[in-house]
Amino acid sequence: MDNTPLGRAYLETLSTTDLVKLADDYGIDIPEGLNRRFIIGELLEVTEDQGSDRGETGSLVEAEYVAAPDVLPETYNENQITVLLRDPGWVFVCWDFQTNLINALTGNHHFESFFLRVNFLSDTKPAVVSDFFDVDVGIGDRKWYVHLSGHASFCRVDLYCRYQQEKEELIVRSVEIPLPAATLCDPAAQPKRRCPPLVELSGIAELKKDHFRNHRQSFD
Amino acid sequence: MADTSLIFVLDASLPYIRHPETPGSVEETRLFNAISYTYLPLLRSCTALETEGVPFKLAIAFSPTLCEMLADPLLQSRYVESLDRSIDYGIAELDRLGNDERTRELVKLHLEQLQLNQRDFIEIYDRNILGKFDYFANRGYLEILATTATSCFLPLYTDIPEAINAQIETGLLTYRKHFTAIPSGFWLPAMAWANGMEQILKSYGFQYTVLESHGVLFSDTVPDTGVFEPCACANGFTVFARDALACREVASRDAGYSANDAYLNVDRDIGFELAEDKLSGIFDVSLGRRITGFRYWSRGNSGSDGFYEPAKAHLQAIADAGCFLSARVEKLDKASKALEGAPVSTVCAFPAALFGQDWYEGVTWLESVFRKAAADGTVTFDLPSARVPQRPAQVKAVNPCYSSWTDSGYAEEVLNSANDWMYPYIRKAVKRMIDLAERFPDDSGLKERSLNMAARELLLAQSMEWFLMMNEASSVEYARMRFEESIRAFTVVYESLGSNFISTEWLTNAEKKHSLFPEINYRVFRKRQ
Repeated sequence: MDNTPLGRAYLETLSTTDLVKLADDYGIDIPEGLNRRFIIGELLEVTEDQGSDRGETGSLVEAEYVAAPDVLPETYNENQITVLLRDPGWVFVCWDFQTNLINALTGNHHFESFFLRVNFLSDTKPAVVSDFFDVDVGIGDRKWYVHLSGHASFCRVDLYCRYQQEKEELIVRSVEIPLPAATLCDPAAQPKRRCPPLVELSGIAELKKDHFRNHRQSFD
Repeated sequence: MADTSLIFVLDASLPYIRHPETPGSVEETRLFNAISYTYLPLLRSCTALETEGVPFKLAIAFSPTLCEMLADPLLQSRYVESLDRSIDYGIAELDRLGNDERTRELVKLHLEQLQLNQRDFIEIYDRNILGKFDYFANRGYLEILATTATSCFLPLYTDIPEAINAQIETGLLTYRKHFTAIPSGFWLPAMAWANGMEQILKSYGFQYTVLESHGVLFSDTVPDTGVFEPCACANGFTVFARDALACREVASRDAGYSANDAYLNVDRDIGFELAEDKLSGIFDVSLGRRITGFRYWSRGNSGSDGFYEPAKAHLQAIADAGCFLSARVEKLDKASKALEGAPVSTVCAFPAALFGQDWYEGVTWLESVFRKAAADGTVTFDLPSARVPQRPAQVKAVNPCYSSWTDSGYAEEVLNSANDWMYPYIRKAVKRMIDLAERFPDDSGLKERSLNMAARELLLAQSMEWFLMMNEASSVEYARMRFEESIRAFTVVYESLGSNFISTEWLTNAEKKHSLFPEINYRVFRKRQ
């Protein structure tokens, strides 16, 4: 192996045959017919690991060129799921798969679908799942907006694979994100008590009306 | 007299836009408009008030990206060139208009302002307008808040605290470069708050921030004093609740004072209306139409066929300032009585762009508020730090809830189907940056330069403006280009560090292109031990 810089940009310039050969040089086993994008991902991962093993104090070597990738990658080839709170009624969920894994899962004869399990957790330690629901997602889906119908302190979303006549399989689990108080999501949950005069003078009634107007879809 | 005060806070923010390779790019004019219509007029107002001994107090959060652009010699030169072109154009326009006296008067008015801007920017401030703001801060008129390096919507990163720390630390580093004070207040971009922010902000020595009303009023621990007193989180960190309704009275696009028919229609500019050949003297239309400042129409058609009448607009601004003050005084008096004479305050926070850019007469309105209050003696003005409770432990603790000052009140504008594709990239880049900072804790030379470059590009990619611009058809292409450019540059460094090869030519060019935060230290992304 020579010292050619193994950046994504460089690897993108190689033919698929050269990529397979290079992967072979690095001892990576490439299944037949694997998409070149994933071969590049595997190569980058391995060379990155080797870089870590080498120790980090080595100097950078001058390269004649650096070609930035023309397009951002469609995948980072990892099993990962993220949950972001958009507003008290909705979270945004996005996920990614390791290519080998998704190929293996969807290639399984018993494969049925992927689904997101939206868990609501209590404020206790350890947190306990107090409620959950499932949302089916397509093989090509990588993001979803989930309506928070439950009231809890935390939310966690798990990505599962469902099989026919087999137990569902957990693929990846998000971190737990704190949720706003229930009163924010549902005015009906608010205690029916008179506001202190200065809270009324602050315009709480109008703010609540605005909130309902803007987010009423969350209250259905 | 009751101890009642008004607190004004301005969010002076702009995304980092600098295109050394493209003189005359339409995007750079955002900065020039901000200087011409907001910051120079604001400084003139402050100077006049100071000279005349009229009390005024104002808090401003200058985003580090704006500071870096204001201090950038290339952009300063380009601003001066744009003023020169506008002045030449105005003079030619006077000839072109011949006997059209009505329009000529408006051209003359704009020409006067251009010449005033030219004189102030070059001769009075020596191109350094931040220095004058710092002067007013040192004299106790202004309080300059710190803020994040780029306008990052922090609640979407609460699970990656290193990302928030890096934004704050780089923001502070830039603050120290441009201003002499030690900031006690921190401006959260879009006033976006999530649980736990109080811990982070207090750990950097900040004493307070400002939140949208519902962040405090919708919390499960609503303070009895509503928005009329600052409140403290459990750790003693102070939060001021903006009086959203008072701000709406001013800034509402439909019914606010700023929407009055008498005011200048800032959207109806000859830069968008005249034929290409008539504009060639002022800008290259092929680079995009833009605001020229030559505007002749009022917002409504109620006047004489909608033509702008500066004197009428000026009087309207003074009248609106009076109405605003009366309404505030009335509410503050009620609040003070309810608290048996205890000190009360109202916080009005606005985007700085409202004054002068979105609302041409806005600076006049603001100055009139100070003058009218001084004349009437009904209310005083305070800086937020003066109202921070001295003994926060004695104030009922609040637990503010997720909130922002966007129209939705939360994150809908920065997280929707138009821009959600950006999050996997930005979050992956953040995690990679943390990994790099951990792997290369003590590196120097070329590696350090590369890591700093990666950190800089990552901070730029987090700018909320790209996410917001994805919602507007006219700016999608630019926002996408900028975001992808930063992610790609970051990725080049990341992969170069993996392979140990880098092109110094590429690195140098990238540093020249985005020359902000030269003192950045990539280690701000390291995990806390």
